[in-house]
Amino acid sequence: MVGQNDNKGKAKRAADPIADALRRLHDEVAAEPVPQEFFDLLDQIDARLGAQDPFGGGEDPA
Amino acid sequence: MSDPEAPPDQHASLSDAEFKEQLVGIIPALRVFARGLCSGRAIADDMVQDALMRAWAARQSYAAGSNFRAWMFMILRNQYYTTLRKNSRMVAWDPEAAERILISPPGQESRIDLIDVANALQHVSPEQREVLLLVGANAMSYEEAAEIVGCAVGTIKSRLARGRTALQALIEGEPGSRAASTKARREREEGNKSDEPLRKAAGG
Repeated sequence: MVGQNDNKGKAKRAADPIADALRRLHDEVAAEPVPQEFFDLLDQIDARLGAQDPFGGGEDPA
Repeated sequence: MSDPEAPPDQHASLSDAEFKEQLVGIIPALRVFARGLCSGRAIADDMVQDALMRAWAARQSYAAGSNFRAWMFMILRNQYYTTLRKNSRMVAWDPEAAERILISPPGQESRIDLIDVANALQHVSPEQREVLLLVGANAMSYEEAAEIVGCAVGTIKSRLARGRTALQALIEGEPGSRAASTKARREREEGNKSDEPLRKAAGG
């Protein structure tokens, strides 16, 4: 069951403070709303899809 | 899995719309990884945005159906190390970033403050830091982490073990950390218990 598995996971992390802290660090940042600037960036991609795309799609980014 | 830096290969590719959808979905995980690598929120977000654009430019080299998360993390990781070589600011501890991290409620002494662990992460080696983030924070398997880092599974395990030890030592050794305070109090209590027979004998 999801509830039981979740409780087991929490109990396991509680016994390992380092793992617990790292997961909480993950959860805190992952829960942040994605800043609008990221969506603006993806909108630029959309705009380029409709126009000539200077990035091409097959070029080596390095 | 396809190499993000390699030229396009003969494999099925996602449509541009499908690829963009994948990019949107991976943003939170990338932000977690970047934030842990370089701490400063602005620097981390800039790095993620650069990685997204690089991924878009290299989208034809991504093989549909392969591990997209690992592919993106490789791009971000490569970029991090490239920037690290150029910019010493990447390793600086950012106190403003620390203040934005929530602190666990008082009284839960078995838990480590997030500020303490975020601070300590910036003082372990980059190789240990990335493994702690990939396996510890992002809950990746050793195999997936090894694929991203480009090393053997045994190396991942070794770096993880050493990273955990280093992290623990840093957290407990930080004078202002709750872990250090808790450890010091316990040592005092243990010291008081062991002194009790002597005090009784002395009539105290």
